[in-house]
Amino acid sequence: MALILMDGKEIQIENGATVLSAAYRNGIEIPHYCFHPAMKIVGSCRMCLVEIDGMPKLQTSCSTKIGEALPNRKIDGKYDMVIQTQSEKVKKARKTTLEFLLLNHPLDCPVCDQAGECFLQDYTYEYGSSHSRFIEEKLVRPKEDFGSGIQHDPNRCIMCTRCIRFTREVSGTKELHKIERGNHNKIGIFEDKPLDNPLAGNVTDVCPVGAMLPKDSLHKERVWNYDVAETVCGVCARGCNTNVSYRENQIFRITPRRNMDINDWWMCDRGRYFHHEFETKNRIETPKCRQNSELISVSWEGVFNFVREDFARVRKEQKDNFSVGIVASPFLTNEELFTLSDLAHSLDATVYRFVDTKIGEKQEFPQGFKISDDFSPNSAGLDKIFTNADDVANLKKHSVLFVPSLVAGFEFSDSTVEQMKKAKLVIAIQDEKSAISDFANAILPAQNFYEKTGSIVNEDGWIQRMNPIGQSEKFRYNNWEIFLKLQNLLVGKSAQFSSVSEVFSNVIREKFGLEATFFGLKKEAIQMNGGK
Amino acid sequence: MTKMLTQFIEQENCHTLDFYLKNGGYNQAKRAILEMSADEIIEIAKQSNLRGRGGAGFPAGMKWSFIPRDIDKPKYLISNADEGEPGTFKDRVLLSKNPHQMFDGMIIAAKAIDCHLAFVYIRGEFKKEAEILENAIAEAKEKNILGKRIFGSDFDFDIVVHRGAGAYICGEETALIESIEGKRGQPRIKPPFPAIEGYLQCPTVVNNVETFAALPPIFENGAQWFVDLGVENSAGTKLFSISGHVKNPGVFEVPMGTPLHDLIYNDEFCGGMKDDIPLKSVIPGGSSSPILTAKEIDGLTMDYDAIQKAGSMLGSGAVIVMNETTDMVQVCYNLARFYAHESCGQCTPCREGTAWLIKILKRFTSGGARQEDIELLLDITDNIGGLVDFSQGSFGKTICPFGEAVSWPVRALVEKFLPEFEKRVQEK
Repeated sequence: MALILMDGKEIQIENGATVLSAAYRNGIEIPHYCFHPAMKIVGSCRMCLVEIDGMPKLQTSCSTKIGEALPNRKIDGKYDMVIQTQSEKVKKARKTTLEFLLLNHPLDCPVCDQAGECFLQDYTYEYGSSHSRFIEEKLVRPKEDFGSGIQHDPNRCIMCTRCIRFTREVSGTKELHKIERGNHNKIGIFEDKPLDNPLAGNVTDVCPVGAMLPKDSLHKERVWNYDVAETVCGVCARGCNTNVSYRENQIFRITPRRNMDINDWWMCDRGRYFHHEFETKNRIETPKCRQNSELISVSWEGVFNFVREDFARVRKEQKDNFSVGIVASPFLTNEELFTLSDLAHSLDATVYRFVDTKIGEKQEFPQGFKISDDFSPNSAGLDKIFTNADDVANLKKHSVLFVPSLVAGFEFSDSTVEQMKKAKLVIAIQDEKSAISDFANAILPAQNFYEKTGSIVNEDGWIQRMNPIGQSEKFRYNNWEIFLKLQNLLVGKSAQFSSVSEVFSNVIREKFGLEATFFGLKKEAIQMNGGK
Repeated sequence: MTKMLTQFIEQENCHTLDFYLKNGGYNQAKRAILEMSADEIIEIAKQSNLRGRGGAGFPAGMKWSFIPRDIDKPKYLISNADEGEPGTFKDRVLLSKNPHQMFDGMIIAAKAIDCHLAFVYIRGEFKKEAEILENAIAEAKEKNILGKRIFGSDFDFDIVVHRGAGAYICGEETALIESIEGKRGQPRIKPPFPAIEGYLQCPTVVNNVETFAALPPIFENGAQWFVDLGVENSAGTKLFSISGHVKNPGVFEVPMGTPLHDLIYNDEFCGGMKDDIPLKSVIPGGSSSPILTAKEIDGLTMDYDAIQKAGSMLGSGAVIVMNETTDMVQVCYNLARFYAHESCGQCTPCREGTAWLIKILKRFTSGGARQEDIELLLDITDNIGGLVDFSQGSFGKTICPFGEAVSWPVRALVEKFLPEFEKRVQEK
């Protein structure tokens, strides 16, 4: 351990820690651009310079390591290093570095998507100058399309090279390079090799300024208008932590949220842009039931009455042949699966597992970021809650069938659909019209996975919390409530849960053998097999 | 006057191995390989006080002693022949006229750090010199001076010539290493220093051509002989490449501490100012050293301490002499333009600052300069390279000394020739 004095504050820190990390861990901000904890230190932006006693030059805090000094070299007899992050020298260095960075910068914040979350903007307000001494002509270069939906603006670029290092060290694909020299140098690609890798979108997140922007959300909304849901991506079993930025129920962009146990700082482009799959006009917004082979919109009461009456009628007709089938989907949360399992149990139903979701390709990147081959978010939770579900390919003929939503990219096979059609009563809990809607007798509108709250289990057993974009008022019932309601309707009794956190506590205790609160899950994921 | 590097350069075939061997060549390398220990070699180098001839003047023996001994990694030796500092053309003479003396010295240094593969990083423009080196290596291999088990010992040593692609910054040792590794030539952040993690993350020593070439005479005549050649803190002889407004520009080998006046005015050397127009100023150590006025060079001797005391540096020994007809504003613009062109663009102050400097200086040379631009120029140099204060070290704000290399000369030119800059403001 070393003892340092930073801005008059005594700090104990382990040998080998950098000045920058010592500062951040002790609530002292040192502005920086090129440093990113996932990448090699290059010390090139010169923004994080600090003054260290005994060193005539200002030092880059990102690269300067703290170590125990020899007894006779200690300052004031006890400090291994004395650092000032706010001295006049440091302030001037910051101010002039920002002045340099802004020389050729277009200062086009009013039309730049990064505005509001731009470190050039923030640091200039905090440490920079309000006027420019530069009267020369600025360097102007055209915007470029780098591929993978990424637009590069060299005029806004500050050459921190985070994006280059990302493609070299994290994605390992090496598409981006520094080209030209001196003031003309810029980020570039080779003509025949555009930015093309499953993690390409992350360069827009590592870029501290507006030089790399996703065309997908370009000029669509200002960042300060966004509401943000901290949630978990549902497109594969990895469960990357994400921030979903939305406004008035429309998702504009999805960005990764740091979680060192699961996704580090990253997410894949499939997860990033998957929300567009839900932007169809096929959304099911009201309950529907089939009368005289026509699907008509009805009220919730209407659909529940319809289900209850038809269910009773079918049971009466079928007598001994009466059987219920339920298809459980790994796109459902633990809470939904738990209330669904209650429903299945009380109806003595046969449970089938949704179509095979392992349709992807397992991918692992140089620093360990993974993409799962399982394109559903909660296979692990489903396996835990339904221990003996059969493959849906083996679907038998049932009198009544409960079918969940299909997600983009998945279809039931023709034979399964044919088998489903044989049921007398098909109750679909769906967010969008699909092949099932063509023959379902009743359709209950469901939430898709950006809209619901609940827990899912990733491929490594991490139990994480999904949070909705704020439109729950649009849905009268949460998916898990629909299953409870159906159970109450058809069997006459059900568990009494008043909130998703109550369901969570129960499912986690009964099916996972853990004690945990849903609120706690917001702060930190828990590991299914012990661990946190 | 004693010469130890260039005494034979006027003679025919002086670059051949036969010639070199006839004049006692490779005796010291042989002795180092067969008879001396690494410690003995380093000790002699330290005692000789041989300072790096590339510009920084770091003691060579000390540099070698930083190489860790007890590690598993191979060690590398690099001869820096990327002679790019404007005004410098001394290594070119050694490379073309006396390549074996450099190899001789490299073998001695290789033994000192236990290195078995060395590089000569030669600037791309030196095509002919690179060919001479290749031929010299082939000659040496034939005679078992390079290659496997050299001089019949169990010591393998090979030298590879690597041509650069013309970037000034690749003369900086870490940029040079990056370039040899096949990467974009730009300096690395230090620490770690090359002695710990250099070429391929292995311990590496980079020395200048002239430094290596100085080793065989030192080992032949003894460290004290070398010390006695020069003056205090500046041992031996030094090559000075003198250019500009003199009658006879060229490369001259003289002992450290020789008066600059002699170099410029003696018939033995430059033979006086061209057309006898009086001297105005001198850049004493390559374009990155601050300029000195005629008054400041009065009585100046050419050694590390004296030039530092005068407010500049010996650098690579490139003396650029300017007479009274010289337009110092144009000199300043020209120098700054070189640095703006050669900046690698890695760190902010240098990338942006150098380009800004030339935009302002352009206004001084071709109209549009404002009074406040003078203050601005000085402030920008301060923000890139820090103030010139040799007593307290450098205050540069960049990864490598390039920031200082552009700031110091520009600052010195503006401060020392202020009236010329002010005149341009009035001319507007």
